[in-house]
Amino acid sequence: MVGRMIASMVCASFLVTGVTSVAQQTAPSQTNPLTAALPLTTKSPEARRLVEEALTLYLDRVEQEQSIEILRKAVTIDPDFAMGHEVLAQISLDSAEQVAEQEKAFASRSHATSSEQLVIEWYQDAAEHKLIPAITKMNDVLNQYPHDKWVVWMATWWLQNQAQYERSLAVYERSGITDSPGLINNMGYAYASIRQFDKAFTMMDKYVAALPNDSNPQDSYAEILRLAGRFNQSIEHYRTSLVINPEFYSSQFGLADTYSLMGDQVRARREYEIGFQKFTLPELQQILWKTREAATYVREGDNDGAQHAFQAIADYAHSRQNSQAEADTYRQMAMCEQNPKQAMAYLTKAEAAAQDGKNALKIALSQELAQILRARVELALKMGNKDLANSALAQLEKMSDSSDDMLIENAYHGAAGAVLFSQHKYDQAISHLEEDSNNPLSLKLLATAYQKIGYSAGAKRTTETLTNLNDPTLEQALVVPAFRKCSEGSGCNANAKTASLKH
Amino acid sequence: MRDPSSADMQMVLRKVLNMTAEQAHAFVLAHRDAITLADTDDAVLRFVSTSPGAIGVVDLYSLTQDVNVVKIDGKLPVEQGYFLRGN
Repeated sequence: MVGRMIASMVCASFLVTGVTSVAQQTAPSQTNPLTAALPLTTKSPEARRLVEEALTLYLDRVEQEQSIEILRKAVTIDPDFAMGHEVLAQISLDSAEQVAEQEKAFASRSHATSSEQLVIEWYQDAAEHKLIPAITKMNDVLNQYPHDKWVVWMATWWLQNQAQYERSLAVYERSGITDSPGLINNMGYAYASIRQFDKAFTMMDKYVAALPNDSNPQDSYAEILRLAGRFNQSIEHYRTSLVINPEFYSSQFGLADTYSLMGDQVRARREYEIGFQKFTLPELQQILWKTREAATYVREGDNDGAQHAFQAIADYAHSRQNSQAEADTYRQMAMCEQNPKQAMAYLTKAEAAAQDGKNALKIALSQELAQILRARVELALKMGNKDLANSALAQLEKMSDSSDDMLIENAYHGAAGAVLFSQHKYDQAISHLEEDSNNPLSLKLLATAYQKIGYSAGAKRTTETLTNLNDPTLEQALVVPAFRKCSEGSGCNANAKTASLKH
Repeated sequence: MRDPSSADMQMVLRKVLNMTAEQAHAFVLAHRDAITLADTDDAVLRFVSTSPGAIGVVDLYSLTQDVNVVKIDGKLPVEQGYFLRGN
């Protein structure tokens, strides 16, 4: 499958001297890429040992919290351990710690080698929306250390966050690394993301075989089965995971998510509550699964229940001074609120929280503001307020023009596509909606737009993608169940019915 | 450039050359002194970075620091309305 691509026209660098100089610094002539390993520079051998232990625990044993504790010890022993700070910034479950550790990594990078500096600057560029420098630095690190497990993990993980699944798989294949359970797991998800489920299941079989007595392989297998719509098998694997380790809370919440996607919201909420009572969760995980629980009310069409549950999450995020989570929750409240005036009030609260900006990376706040503007455009269209829709879209376009962040750009394209769709300019709408093709709201409009211009094959393909979307997100809850019902021939509006039935 | 019949080159054929894969192959054959085919983005980057004046096309995520990105109509690949993006 060839996805959408952005091609770059390139020419020889004019800064030959500068490039040579960087190459000399970053690729020591004695380094053999076949065996080279990224250095971890610290004055303390104990701190280095701890970071290596933490990396193994995180990647291959999925012991994230234990790994975070060990990393905290390492950077306490050597506060100038730049890569120690960087790894902690990347895997921390606390947004304030993520921000602080990224700053410390960047500030202390002069204590590290040029290769480590390249890694830290790659993440710093990414955090500052500087995509081209981030990509070039990632590739330069990869070219120096194509077989280093940690470099391969960092690159594949970052690429998957950028929705570059095929490229991530190519980096993994080139690495030749076959003995890392963590990488096998990640590649299973990469295949699932491009809906190559047979290959994803092959990866999961290898992962289970590598760690037969661990819960995470069963948990991952369950999640990928769920993405493929094989819910009963998914539940079996989640149950197996919990038999292996009853404390593996992600499987408890995975069960709940799966019941919710199957349509059994009462059972789903029971499973969420078991999880909340049994486990003390890190803040971001608590917010994640409370949000999923709130979405069960949306799936039932219980607006009051949903708003009540979301308000509790917003209050919790506010009490924890987590501005991004608070803003995100108010945005979601707006998306499922039936009363447009009330929905607009929620968006105002969301914007205020995002502007507050406590304990969040600049990039995360910008992404959130873009999502809020997108929600404002969609709400204005629902209200028939063209002026408001256009003004919010103009703000979003300005944001998108001054940033090269994919999420912000996708938000702009989704909103622009919705505005053009509302004006019946289907050809123009399609070019924008195709850029946001992972979002159920855009996919729904895209299916109809294809149908309107007579592109039946596109409408059929998009309808199938949307119908088979099994992510436990709010957007899925708002769009997919109704769309499926529509495909079965009942309870849908004319536009959706056109897209889902006539292909 | 990459082989015109490769999947990654379809957009370039359509948007830049306005040719079918067969027409592009014939064009390359007729200009062998000016156009070099490469199997991978890495090979394109290697050739361009060592050949002053050369221009190539690679996926955005293949970029390295060895080359400069050329703007098209004043726009970088990450900017709105950039020409070389699509299916």
